[in-house]
Amino acid sequence: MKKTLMITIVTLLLLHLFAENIVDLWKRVSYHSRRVLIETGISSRVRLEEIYKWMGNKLVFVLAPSNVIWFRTNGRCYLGEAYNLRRSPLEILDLEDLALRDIEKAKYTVVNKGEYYEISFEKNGKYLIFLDKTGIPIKIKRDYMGTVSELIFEYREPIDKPPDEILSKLSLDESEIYLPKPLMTLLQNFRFFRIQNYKGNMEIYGIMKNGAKVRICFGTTPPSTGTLTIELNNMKLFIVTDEKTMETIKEIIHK
Amino acid sequence: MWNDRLNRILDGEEKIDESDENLKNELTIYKRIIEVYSMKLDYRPSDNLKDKILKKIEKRKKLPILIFSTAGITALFLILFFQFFFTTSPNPSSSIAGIPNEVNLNEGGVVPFPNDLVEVLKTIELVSDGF
Repeated sequence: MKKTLMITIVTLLLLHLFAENIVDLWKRVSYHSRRVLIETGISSRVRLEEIYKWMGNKLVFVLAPSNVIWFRTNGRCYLGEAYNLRRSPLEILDLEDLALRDIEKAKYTVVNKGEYYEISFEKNGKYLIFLDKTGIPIKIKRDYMGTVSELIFEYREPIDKPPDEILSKLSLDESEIYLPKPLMTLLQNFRFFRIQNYKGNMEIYGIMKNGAKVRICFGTTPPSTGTLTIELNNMKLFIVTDEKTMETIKEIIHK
Repeated sequence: MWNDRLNRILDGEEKIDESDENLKNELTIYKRIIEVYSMKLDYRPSDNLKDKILKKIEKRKKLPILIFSTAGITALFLILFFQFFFTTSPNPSSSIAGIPNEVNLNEGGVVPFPNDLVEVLKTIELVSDGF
């Protein structure tokens, strides 16, 4: 009894200290990688990209399905094609950023698998993360309300300095890309959103941070009765959701 | 020699010599010792004493467990304390304050959703995995 208790306490302490070390390594690690995002759920997405991450900065070249570059430095996000980037109206967070944000508020477990570490926790979805010994991610998986996103790091290499040659080609424009503020505010309250075509009209379909499902339709006629219609800069937005969420949305956009 | 004789007398093999005062004395002492030892061997503690002794033993057994549990809990509390006060909080999400009153719920002239806005939303949807 005494021995078992002692072993349990020592193991727990070691696990805790050890867990902190590998997660801290992951937070600080600088690396270059090529990765693939595969998502199934409310819609299917596949994305191929190249990433440089160093000292809290992130530079991502999306290679497929289309060429886009985004760059985050000092908490500011820039977005664009080629090397001419403008301030993004919304903060850009990839699955790794979300995992790093959520792990801060979660109770997580770390298992040493020899060649890699397996971290799991539940916060804004179920996460399963595999890190190599240097803290560079191998795979990040999240299941949020049935939408499963997997970020697979195919090629990985640690870097010890910023990619200066690439950074010198970047042109950063501080003028923000236009997005109507009420729409921007509304989207900031989403956990995530997807764009889809519905009967010839574009619509945003997403899940809000409180878990409510919302459709924002654009066009001239409402998609169904009982929708919230917002006229915005001579455009019409039709919001389809439950009544409670409609009230929440009204409060959000009138703030 | 003396012991052998005493044994023989006690076994009834030899009769006691009543005139031998020394022998009679030894025999009395011997019997008394046996009596005392018998009493000691036959001693049964009271229920109260039994309980007291058992409780003492139990306490002694529990002491190391208590010490290790207290040490473990203290260590965990210390770690949680340091973690709570010495770790940085994640970046706060963008502020939603300062939204101008651009929204109205009145009917009016309607224009199609501009293509450049569609492109912006599609680009953000492509690169972003959530908020």
